[in-house]
Amino acid sequence: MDTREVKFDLRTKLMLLLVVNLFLLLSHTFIFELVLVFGCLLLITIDGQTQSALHFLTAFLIMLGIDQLGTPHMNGFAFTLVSFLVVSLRKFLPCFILGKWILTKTEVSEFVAVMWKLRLPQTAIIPLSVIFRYFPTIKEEWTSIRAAMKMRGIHVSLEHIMVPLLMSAVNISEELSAAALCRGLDNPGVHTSLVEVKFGYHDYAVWVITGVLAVSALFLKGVGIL
Amino acid sequence: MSNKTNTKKSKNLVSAGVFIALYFVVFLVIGCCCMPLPPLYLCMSSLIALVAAPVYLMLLNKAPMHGPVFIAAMLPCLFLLLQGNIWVVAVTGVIAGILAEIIAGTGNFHNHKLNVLSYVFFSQNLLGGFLPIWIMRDYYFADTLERGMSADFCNTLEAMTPIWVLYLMIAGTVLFALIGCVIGKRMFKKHFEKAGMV
Amino acid sequence: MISFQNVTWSYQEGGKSKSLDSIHLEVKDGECILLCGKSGCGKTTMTRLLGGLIPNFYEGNLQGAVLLDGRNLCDLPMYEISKQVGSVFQNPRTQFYTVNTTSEIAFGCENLGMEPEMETPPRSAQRQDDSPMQNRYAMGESIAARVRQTARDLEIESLLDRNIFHLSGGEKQIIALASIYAMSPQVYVLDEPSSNLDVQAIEKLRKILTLLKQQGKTIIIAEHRTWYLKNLVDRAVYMENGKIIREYTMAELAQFTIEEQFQSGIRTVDLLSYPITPCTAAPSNHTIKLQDIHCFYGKTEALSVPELSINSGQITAIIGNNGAGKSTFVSCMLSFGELFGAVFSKLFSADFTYKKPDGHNITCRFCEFREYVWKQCKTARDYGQAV
Repeated sequence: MDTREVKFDLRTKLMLLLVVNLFLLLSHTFIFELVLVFGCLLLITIDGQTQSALHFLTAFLIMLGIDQLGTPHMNGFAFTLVSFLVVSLRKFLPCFILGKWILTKTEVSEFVAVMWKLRLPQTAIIPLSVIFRYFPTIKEEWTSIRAAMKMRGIHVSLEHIMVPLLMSAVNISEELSAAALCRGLDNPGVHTSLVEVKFGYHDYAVWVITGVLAVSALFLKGVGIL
Repeated sequence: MSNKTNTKKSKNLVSAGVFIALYFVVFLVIGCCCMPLPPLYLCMSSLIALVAAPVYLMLLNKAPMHGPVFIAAMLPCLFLLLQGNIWVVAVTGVIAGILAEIIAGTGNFHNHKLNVLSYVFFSQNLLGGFLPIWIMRDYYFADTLERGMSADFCNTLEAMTPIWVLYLMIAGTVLFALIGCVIGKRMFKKHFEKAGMV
Repeated sequence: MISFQNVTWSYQEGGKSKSLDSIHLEVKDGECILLCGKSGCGKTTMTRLLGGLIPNFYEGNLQGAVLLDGRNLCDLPMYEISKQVGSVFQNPRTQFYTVNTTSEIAFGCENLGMEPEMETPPRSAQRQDDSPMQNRYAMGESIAARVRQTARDLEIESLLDRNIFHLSGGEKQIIALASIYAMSPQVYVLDEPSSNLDVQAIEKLRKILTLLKQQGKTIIIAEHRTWYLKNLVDRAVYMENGKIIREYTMAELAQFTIEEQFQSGIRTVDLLSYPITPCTAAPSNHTIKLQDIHCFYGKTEALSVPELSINSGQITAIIGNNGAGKSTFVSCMLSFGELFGAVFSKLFSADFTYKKPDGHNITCRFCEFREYVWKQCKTARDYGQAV
């Protein structure tokens, strides 16, 4: 493992996403926006995604530049469209940064382990873990179906795609569930995970800092500064 | 026998995962085609409703329990959230999912008419991605308010996206959902029932 | 000890056609039993019964009992059965539940709630090489220790922490077996495990089964291919129409003549004794001649055929190990190679010479040749459908 990377717990990342989403509503001042964006960029840089951070920073600066320098010179339809795009995309940049971070850096096994640790019900965990597993299989099935269609000279239509796809899905889910049940999937007791889910010091630090920032932001909003 | 019920439940949940994955793929494929092009973007919900109908019907058939429908409704919304979309999309996802669950549940997931009705509500789950264009303009343009340009702004935008477009979108999604269910039911009769799969 | 006591099973509620009919069978600890017979004789149903899929997973009508060390398996939930009985199925592609090999091996242990990691030092440090077999292979208490030991015992360290979708069929099947091994059940039930495997993978499978036998595990295997089980099986149970007809030893099975093999559905035990007469290709008027075909997946060359003649009126078999390029060849000839990511090189310099039925020699470009082959296949298919 790359020692420059600091691995954050998935629960920390999810908490951040939630908080950022909520706090987007809080204030529209530029300073606040800067704090959110740079906070997120800092976190992903600590986790080793320096190049990604630089891309986002560049995008942010470009959008800012267009908004501040470009739009006063436009008017009418062009102004509306450009301003809308640039402003709204820029506002949601922190969400996008965190979202991409979560999607690219989380292993399936870690995700499943966190779900068991959070004691989510089986009704949620099993379908979600199967989704990850079945996803790449869909592509394989799709290619085989296309090959079979080509071989039989069948044209593409909703029925011709959906029926084989659904049939293969039914068969695969039956075999998959049989094999999983033969390895104890239906155990109503506790399921553990090989991958350990534990908070590290950096996680605690992030929780504390986020808490402090959140409280002060609320306070400043209440006082009227923000 | 309690042994068997948990086994059956786990088996159903695995099937649920498979069909929810299929639904999500439908969403991704149509979404990727529709998102970049503005006029298609508004049709996205309807197209997904049409194509995903057989998948939804199969989901209800193979996993007749509370839970999978809600997860299916929420999954694209959560994905959009992670892509930086506004939280409203999660709210409509939750509402659509819960309503769909309740409606299908009253028929024990086996009543076809109720299932179709539940699908109509289910397919409105992505509405939240589009609602802000009409409902939350002031949020989007709050800082331009400070610059004193909001009036101009909102008027132009309102001219571009009149409220009837929203109504049309909702109606379109409902219509295509119903058509999709008709096609789906026919597929079931013609293929799946013969193969003994349903 | 396993005891089937007057077991009757049918998949329909009505009970009309019985998949298993009054089965009586006793299997001692440490025995390796082969279930053999024609397709549909009931051997797969027997494996499902032992593994707990019947009656918990499949609906139907069950009478009788299956006792494992005195407990009736039919009364137990599947997760309880899985602690004692491990099942391996035919299809390597649909058995795995996770995306990563290490997670897959740990899957069963995770479900049963075992501890991920223990504080005590690993057992291997304490193990002596001259200790009894059971102790040498005794499983650790934690999931991590079990995964490590499984990798060591089955010699699959190179397969750890890999994406399962990138493995070959044989490797996937080994991982499926490893996943069961980590749970260390007393009984292993395998349903045609060699179905989708090539010779090398079967050899690996055989080695693992030999190890299991050394460990004193009870193995019940339903199979058509008997040659790789020659020195493993204690008894072969022959089934027909859901009934056990008689038992054989492997030596007796090896004595079967070709006709007896055909009638019973049991394939040859000794591959080398099978009569194969080499033949030469008869000259033919109609030939498809392929020259200089190359096919790439990305930068890797998947197919390189300098010259090949396929004669009409003959059956040409394309054989080889997994990954040799057979499927690529077929899909290229049937013109959907591109769907699987294949790219043809020297596309326009490949010349094909084929004789049309009227005797003329035609040399053409690859695309035209493809059309010709395609039309031939279509004609044959349409003809077949019309007939």
